[in-house]
Amino acid sequence: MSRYRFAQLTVVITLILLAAGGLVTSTDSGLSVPDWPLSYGTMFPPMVGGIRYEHTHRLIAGLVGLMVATLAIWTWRTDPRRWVRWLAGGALAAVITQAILGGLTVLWVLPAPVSIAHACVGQLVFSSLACVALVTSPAWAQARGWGAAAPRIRRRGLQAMAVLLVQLLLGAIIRHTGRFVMWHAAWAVVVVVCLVRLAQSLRQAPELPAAWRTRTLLLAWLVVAQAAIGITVWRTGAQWAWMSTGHVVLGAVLLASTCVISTAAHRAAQVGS
Amino acid sequence: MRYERQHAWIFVAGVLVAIGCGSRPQDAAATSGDAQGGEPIQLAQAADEVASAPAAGSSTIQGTVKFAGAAPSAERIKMDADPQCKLQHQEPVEKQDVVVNPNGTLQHVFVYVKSGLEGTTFTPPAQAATLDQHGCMYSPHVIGIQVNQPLEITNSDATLHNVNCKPANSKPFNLAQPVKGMKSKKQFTAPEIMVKCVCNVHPWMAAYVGVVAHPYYGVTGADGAFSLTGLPAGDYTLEAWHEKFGVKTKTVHVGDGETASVDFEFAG
Repeated sequence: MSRYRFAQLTVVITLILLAAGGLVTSTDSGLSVPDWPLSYGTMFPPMVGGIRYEHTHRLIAGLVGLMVATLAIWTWRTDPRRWVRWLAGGALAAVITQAILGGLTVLWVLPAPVSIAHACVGQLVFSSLACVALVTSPAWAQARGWGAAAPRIRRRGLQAMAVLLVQLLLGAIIRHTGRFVMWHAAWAVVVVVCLVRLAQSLRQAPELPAAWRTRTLLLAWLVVAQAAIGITVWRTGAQWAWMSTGHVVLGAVLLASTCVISTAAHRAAQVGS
Repeated sequence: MRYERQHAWIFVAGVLVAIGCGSRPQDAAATSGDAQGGEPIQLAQAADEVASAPAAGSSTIQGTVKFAGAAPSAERIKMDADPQCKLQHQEPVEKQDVVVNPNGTLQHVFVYVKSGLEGTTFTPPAQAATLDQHGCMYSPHVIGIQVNQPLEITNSDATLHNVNCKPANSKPFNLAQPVKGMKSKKQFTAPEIMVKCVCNVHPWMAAYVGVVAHPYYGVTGADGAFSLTGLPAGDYTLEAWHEKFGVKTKTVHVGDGETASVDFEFAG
């Protein structure tokens, strides 16, 4: 398996981890296992009730930790680009931070700041791993310019990423304190505008490779789906755990998408100039 | 085994940091000690009994809590998430949030003296109040306790529970009770109406603890009655709390050695 394929697999498993973590919060199972790092003093407690969600989350987290460590070591030993080595190393540091935050969340009985940080860092880990996958891909090495549109796409991508980060923070605050619901709803308008502008700039770039055009279409549909799910969760009082979790997961995919688009646009601007 | 070693390795860094951060908050909470097995369990006080109290007076306030309107149909609990829980019940189990007695009174109402005892301090009893987990349900569902009185929490089930109590005025705690017969003791250090305790393993499990600074409280049971005995003569404000219907207050005067009657009514 190539390092790129392994990075892709790590991204997929991390997305599953995010979904598992989202389910823990949505089902209020975070404290069903009061100890950490063991669960009721053992590696494999009975998988009943809320423990199913919490312990599954822990097991997947362990797997992701191993995969990210492997990816970081692999990159550090084989990649000639110093900045890529640091990117992979940063992802590993973020995963370790995330594990510690997860542990503290349990041991300190869900203190809101720690739980919110745990929710946010998880999404940052996912985005950074998506970028590692991008920069280790064959397409990165063979990249060609996107024409004059590349700098504008990069700028709008970074704008969208910034507003999504704020939205992510607001969403995490809602899930762990129940506050700022209206702020999250209002900020969603800003997010949609920024993402639509990003999609427009991608669509209007004549030299954009065909693969990126498909991804742009996907991005547009993701925005529509995310808005619909968000409104449904809001109107129904988040009564369906799977739907709230889906909103979290799609939010993570959107954030990672803007991160990847910005990085790819930066690369295209460099190659094209 | 290989996977277990790998999994453990991942958490080594976290363990070191957690140790470095010092003791767990719940350990630092007012804990009287944990025990497993051993002495027989003190049976929970009958829900409609008043808590034992130092006889500060000879007056009594008693009454009932009535329910007006049609009794809502009780919601059934699904215990499919844990076969051990399901096995313990031959009959369907219903939620305890709204229990209307056959005589039209309401169960699980916490009644206490809200004001009228200012300036008097009461020593908490050494005897623990008890909260049992039996059949994957809390027994009693609503309990009263005095500030700094021990609360003994027992797991009588052959499955594991966590006891996650979230007071706003005392230190919250989340206990693991994985073994049948396990007991833990905790205290609440400040008055609070009410502290909710839940089991996150079994999301249907919830208990409410009324923490007051004095011994004059009671919880309505199968007859919907309460009785607060040993009160000094005086003017009091009583509050009745119900988890679904909120609170009601009433004022009452009781003379020395007299018995005053106060009835509450909640509407569905």
